[in-house]
Amino acid sequence: MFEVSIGMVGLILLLLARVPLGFSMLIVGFFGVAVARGWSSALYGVGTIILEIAIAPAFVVLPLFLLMGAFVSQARLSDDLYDAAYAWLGHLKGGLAMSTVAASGGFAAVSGNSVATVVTMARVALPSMRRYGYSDSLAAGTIAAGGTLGILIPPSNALIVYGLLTETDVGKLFIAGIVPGILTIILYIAVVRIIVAIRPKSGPAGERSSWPVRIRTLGRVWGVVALFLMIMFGIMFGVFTPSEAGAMGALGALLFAIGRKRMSWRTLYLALYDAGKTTAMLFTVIFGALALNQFIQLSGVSHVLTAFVTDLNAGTTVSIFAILGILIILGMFVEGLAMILLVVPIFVPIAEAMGIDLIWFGIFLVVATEISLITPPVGINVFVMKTMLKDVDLSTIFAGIMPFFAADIFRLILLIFFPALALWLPGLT
Amino acid sequence: MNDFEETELSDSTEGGWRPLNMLVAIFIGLMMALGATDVTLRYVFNAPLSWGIPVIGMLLGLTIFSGLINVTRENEHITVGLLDRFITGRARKVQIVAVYIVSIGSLLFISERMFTLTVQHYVNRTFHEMIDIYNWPFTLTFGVLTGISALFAAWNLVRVLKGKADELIQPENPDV
Repeated sequence: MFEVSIGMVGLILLLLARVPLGFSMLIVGFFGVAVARGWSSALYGVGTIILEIAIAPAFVVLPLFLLMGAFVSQARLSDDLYDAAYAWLGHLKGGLAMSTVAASGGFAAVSGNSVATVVTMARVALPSMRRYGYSDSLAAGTIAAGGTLGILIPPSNALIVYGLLTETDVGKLFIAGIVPGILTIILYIAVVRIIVAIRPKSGPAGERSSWPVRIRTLGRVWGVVALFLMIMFGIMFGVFTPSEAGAMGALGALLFAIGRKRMSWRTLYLALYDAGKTTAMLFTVIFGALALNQFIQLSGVSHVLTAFVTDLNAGTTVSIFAILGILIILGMFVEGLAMILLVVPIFVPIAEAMGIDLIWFGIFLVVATEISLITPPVGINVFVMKTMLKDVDLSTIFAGIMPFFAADIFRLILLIFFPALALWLPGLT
Repeated sequence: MNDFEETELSDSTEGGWRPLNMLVAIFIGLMMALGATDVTLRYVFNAPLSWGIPVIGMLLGLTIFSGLINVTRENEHITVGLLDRFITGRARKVQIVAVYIVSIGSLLFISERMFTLTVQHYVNRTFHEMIDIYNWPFTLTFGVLTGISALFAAWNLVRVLKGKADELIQPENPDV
């Protein structure tokens, strides 16, 4: 326990000094194993774990879905999604904000990434919202919060990373993310309704679209629907493994972009390059997380923590709330995949020892991570919004996010008291 | 902190590093092509590629370690920049130098581990567990690529020390 405490302090210091996350965890993991088992064990362990992960076919799922997201962005599916959502919801008060939430959900379903969703939706939705006189706080809050859907709605990169680290079935995690994802969209739309009911001027109604226009816009989003259904049904019915679904999804997105004349040789090259680079970025952290995991496993700290939680005799629900509290506080300083990579080695053994379903825990963890993307002072989605809304104060953006933050907390509570929200659908397969 | 930014595709491919960037693009493109071909052959011709899965695994390793060069060169490793706004001037430069030294050390360590594994695999003549190809050329390649990453980190460090890399010293989110 003492060694782990020293290790964790060291890790925090390295992170605060801005040493890359992957290297920080690798260093602490290596020295931790060296102290626990000797230098030769540590040297052998680090080299072996890096090599095993780097050539493991199961880990191919991550770059392939990253690639699919890159192709989807090139195909500009986001524009079509927003047009369709606007045609159906735009005439309502707050309709543009609701359209943004719905389109964010749709885009998340094929991009799997949060920052990409925010950047894309800001480009597509922000000009319209400003033209119609939407308040800055509602516009920015909706886009930043809507972007968090990218981390939960399958195929989510965060769920893939969690699945790979915990050896949980990635396919089942994807399926488990569907209902909580839809619930998020419904809750966010409800938040917009409440805001415009209290302050009608914050979200005026747009123009009403005719029925032929509505039908036509729906016809243009078939690509998104087809890709999503192919992946989800393919995995659900055992047609594809998650890695194969990633390959087919990436190929499908590429063909779709080519079909829409939105893929040149140059954009193909750039999409491949960026997905490859992001793969390297994430795997460096995965190497570090697994090295740290080795240390934590060897130190027996998870047994100590589990015993501590058990001795508290507080019950599973109270323990989950305690973990949630830690995650929300941690989420103020660390976010996104970094948070998942940091906490999985510590919390998953505890969850396992307490008999918590790891599929449910994955969804719970990812939802808590979603919140970290919009909480001050380090909410990445907020910073992305700020760079796109230079004339708006950061405090205005955070104020706009607060109602969505409340909805997120409500959703987490629902998830804790009704685990079936996440477990029902995977239970059917 | 950096995440995934595929929407704003970087324009760095136009620099003198095009061959390196091409390498990453080719490896991940092959991964996708091979994966999709394997599935298609299995369902259409009932004849999946027997060597498909392990080769895709090898391509993953090549993508990671060749991409690592670009991530290091462009200073895009995932970091937690919590104190960035509070550290300025000379202290900031000292911090960046220290981070580079730790990063170079980490990269050299990974590279050394890969070379050690290469020697072991070469001496023992070990094959990949799924197909009959030697392991050592791959570990050797991974070691070389990580070593090149360390060189790029060292090059960035030299630029910082010479005061020729202001972009590496600026804190993240300068607008905020």
